[in-house]
Amino acid sequence: MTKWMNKSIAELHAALVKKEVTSLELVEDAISGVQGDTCNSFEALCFEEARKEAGKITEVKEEEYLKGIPYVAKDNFSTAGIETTASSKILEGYVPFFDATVVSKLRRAGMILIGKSTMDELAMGGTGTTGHKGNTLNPYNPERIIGGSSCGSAAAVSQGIVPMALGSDTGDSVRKPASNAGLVGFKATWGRISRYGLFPFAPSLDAVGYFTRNVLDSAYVLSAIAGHDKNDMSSSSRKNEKYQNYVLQKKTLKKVGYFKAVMDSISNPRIKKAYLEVLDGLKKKGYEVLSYDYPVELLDALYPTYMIISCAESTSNNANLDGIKFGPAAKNSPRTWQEYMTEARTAGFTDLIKRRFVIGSFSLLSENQEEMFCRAQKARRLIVNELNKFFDQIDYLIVPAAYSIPKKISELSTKWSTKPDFLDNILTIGNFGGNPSLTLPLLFEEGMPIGLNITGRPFEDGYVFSLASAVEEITGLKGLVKEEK
Amino acid sequence: MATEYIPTIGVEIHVQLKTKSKMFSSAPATYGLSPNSETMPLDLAFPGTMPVVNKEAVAFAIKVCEALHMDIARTLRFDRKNYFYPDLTKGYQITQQFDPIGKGGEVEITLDSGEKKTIHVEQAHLEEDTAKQLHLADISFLNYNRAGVPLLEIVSLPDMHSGEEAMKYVEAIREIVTYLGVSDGKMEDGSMRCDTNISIAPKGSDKLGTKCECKNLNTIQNIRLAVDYEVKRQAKLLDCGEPVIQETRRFDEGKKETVMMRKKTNAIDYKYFREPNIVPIDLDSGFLYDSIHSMNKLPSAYRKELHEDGLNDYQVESLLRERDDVLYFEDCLKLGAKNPVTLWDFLMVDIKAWLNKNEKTLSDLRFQKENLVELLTLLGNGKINSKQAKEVLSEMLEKGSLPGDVVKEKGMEQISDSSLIDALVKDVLGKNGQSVLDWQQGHDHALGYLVGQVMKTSHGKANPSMAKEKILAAIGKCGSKKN
Amino acid sequence: MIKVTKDVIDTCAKSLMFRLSPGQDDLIYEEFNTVLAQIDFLKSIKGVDEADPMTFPYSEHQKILREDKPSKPIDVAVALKNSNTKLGNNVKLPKVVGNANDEVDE
Repeated sequence: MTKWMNKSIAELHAALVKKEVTSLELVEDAISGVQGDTCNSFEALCFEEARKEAGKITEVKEEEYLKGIPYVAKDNFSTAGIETTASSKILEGYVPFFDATVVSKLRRAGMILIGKSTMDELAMGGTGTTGHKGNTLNPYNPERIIGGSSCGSAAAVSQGIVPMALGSDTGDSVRKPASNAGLVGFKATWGRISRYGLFPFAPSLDAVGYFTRNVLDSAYVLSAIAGHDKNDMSSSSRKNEKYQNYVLQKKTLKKVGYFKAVMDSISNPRIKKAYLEVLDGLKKKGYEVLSYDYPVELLDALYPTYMIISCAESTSNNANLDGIKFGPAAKNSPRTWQEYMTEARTAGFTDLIKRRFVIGSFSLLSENQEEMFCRAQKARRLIVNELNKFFDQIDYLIVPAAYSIPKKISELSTKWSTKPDFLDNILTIGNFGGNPSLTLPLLFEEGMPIGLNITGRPFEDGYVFSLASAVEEITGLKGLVKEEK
Repeated sequence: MATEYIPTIGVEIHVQLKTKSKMFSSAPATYGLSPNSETMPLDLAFPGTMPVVNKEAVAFAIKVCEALHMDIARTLRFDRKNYFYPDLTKGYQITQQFDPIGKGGEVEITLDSGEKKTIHVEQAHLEEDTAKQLHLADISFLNYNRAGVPLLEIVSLPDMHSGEEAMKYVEAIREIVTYLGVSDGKMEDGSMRCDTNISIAPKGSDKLGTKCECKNLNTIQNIRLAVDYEVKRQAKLLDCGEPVIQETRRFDEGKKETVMMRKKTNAIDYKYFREPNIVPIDLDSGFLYDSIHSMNKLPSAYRKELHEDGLNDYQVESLLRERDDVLYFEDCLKLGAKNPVTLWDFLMVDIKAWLNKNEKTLSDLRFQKENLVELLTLLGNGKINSKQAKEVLSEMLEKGSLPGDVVKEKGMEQISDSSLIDALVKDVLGKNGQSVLDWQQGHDHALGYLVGQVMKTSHGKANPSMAKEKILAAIGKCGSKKN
Repeated sequence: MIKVTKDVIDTCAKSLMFRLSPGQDDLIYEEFNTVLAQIDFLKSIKGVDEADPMTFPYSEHQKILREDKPSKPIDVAVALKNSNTKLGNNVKLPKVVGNANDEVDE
């Protein structure tokens, strides 16, 4: 039970400014939270470094919003001096000597890293069960998944251990666990936040994301970490903004839309009711709510398009993992370089990863590339063109982030889905178009949280926060923590 | 009748660009120091590291493409070439498979016969070099200093039809990249690497034969030898009714033969796709303009000027072999040297000989270009003769003395006074009547002897051309009194 | 397109420098049935083959290139600290014979 860490960043900041609490006390609180973790949320920890950092802080000024506050980073962010494994055996023992840009920026803002969190291996999963330390559990019900791939970060924030945790989102890896854990999960516009130092899964889809327990906190964090990075040639040169002002000053756009196909497919009446209540509430707040006929065949295309593109890119991105420059050395006395790499990679990757790599690699072979990889890229073009048509008329897309409660761990399969339901994959649309996208709590169903997702136009991250804040007012759900009593 | 075969040859050249930092990382590109001391995280492919394109490498590529009259891309795009090998840290090389920076160029070569030919270049693209391996008895060491150094790959069309043409093409490219200052262009140290594709087909056939690749060519001369050998080898096979098998061969310098390296059975599939970490880069038109307008003068431009200056082909080509030499030459002309041919002689024969003997370069010379020009002016004005000039030059080379000082010290001022020469001539002719007769009888060596006598009498100070003129005026034409 | 067979699957794995656990090639073969069916579905979407393949999520280009100023390189001890196969300042491997394009030995 923590005294402080279940509070919001804004509350902690106010307390620090008024000297009601010191950063060191916050860190100790977080540390005891980590030690009380029941969900298998953590990889390497850095308590001593955190205490040292916190000990140096004598005062926090009004405008230093994040200073002195503990946080956790998903284990695919490079952290200097701290083991970073992407929850995979192939990177066990790897200690980066440089920080990811995001980590440096948070350090400069005074935020205190206390450890790394578990994830699905190499970010390639959505269940939170494929990392090398085993299953990460959902604090709301340990028999059910918290989702992934940013499972540990979601678990840490929803247990009230830290008020913010970094994650990464390639298909929904922040926004889906946020839904499963009653959190605000935000994925920024592609290129808005530097990816330097973030282990790549599928760079054309990857985005930095993070968890908080309310929308305003989320906006403050973006202000600290957004911006051009000369080390990342995919990062945007557009000027950074004070995103919290969109929330504080209620700077918002007015047209909210939903997909007719999605609305018509919701089978759970309570989810549908909650969804409609939010739309109604927005109407009352002066928003225009419109239906859009997004073609079902493009929605059905989401899963295969995502899987082919991400597996293909991932195969290439992970070709550097060969046990030579870093990672455990190859065993069994290899006699040739081929044997060396093969031993290291055979031992280091799990079966699931290998299956994905084989399929991804097959789709890139010159004889197949036109039919498979290029076709998926063409489908992506159609999906995004249609999404852009939506955004030509409407400012926001609102959909439920999940359509049923999280699956039971015992009922999981990691096989390539034979009958993917577009509802399960709707969030990938925000990765294809590089859109800013935020999930926040919508309702509880059988004691499990279910979230709502808001997606906006690229670089309209601020407007997404302001709409999310309006939704927060309607649902009244914020600051949700599931603590062990 | 033996079948006549037409060889078809294509050449791929990798030019290492001498930028200060690497193609995608900011590590120093000055490798050759102690192993693994010139790296940045990207070069060892640590997870999460990302490529950032080097502006100067792009500028260098633009210059080469412009020199080859290529269409230069206005937007840069990069792609991944995926394969596993210990010297390739990322498991892929970043290159430009689909949108090379330069397309459709050409270069003119001059064959030994004097015939000029145009060789077409298909494309030029930027990519990165691999790490270096050091092979010991049963282990290999990896040194990542070279990993990531910028390369420009230039791919020709299969326009060449002999070893000579292939060699001349490579020489022409080497000239361009060294003159532009973008590469050292040395095959011996790997800053320029060549692979050739060679096939032959019966004359009149409209189909190309099976091609073989020949790699490991370490000198320009070996290109000619390897191609010629390979053409002969393939012709022999076909003559015997045997097929040419597609394979990769290397040139054995000792045997001067191409030797099989491996059969090209299943080529590796590189799974090329667009590099997603580099958003397409629009090249600023100001940057393009500046890159092109800051290009060094090219050999082709120098050739034209030097021929206009009166140098012959041999003199032009030997001067152009090293850019430093032609720059020195040009500077001397700019400083007022009036006789390019004499300047060439002094620079490329005397000065070069001394530099080679003493293992020095032009920058080690102990005198300034102005001094050399002064010397040439003294010679040109007839103040000293050429023998004396060479003596003065020798002093300049050894001691750095000023030409004016040496002439004064050695009392070398040449006698060019007309009446004095008249007197000397009259004296010599009087004492050498037989030689005069010999000349008039048709023995042409006598003139040289008579001039020599004037020089001897004057202790080498007489103006030899004036002396010769006066002698001829006195004794008439050679063989004028022939029976 | 290459027809999917167990051999093809094993060759893919080999070219990716790893071995599959027993039975995994069967599983992948099964998964390929699903994948190819989904490819066929994508093929059936109106306009898909006329569309331009999309790599980047939006079409903003950039203009910034890196100035050619070398940084101080990382210390060799730091660069090689994570390598578990080295000798002195070199990373070491069993003797590398042959070139990049060589077939992986049977």
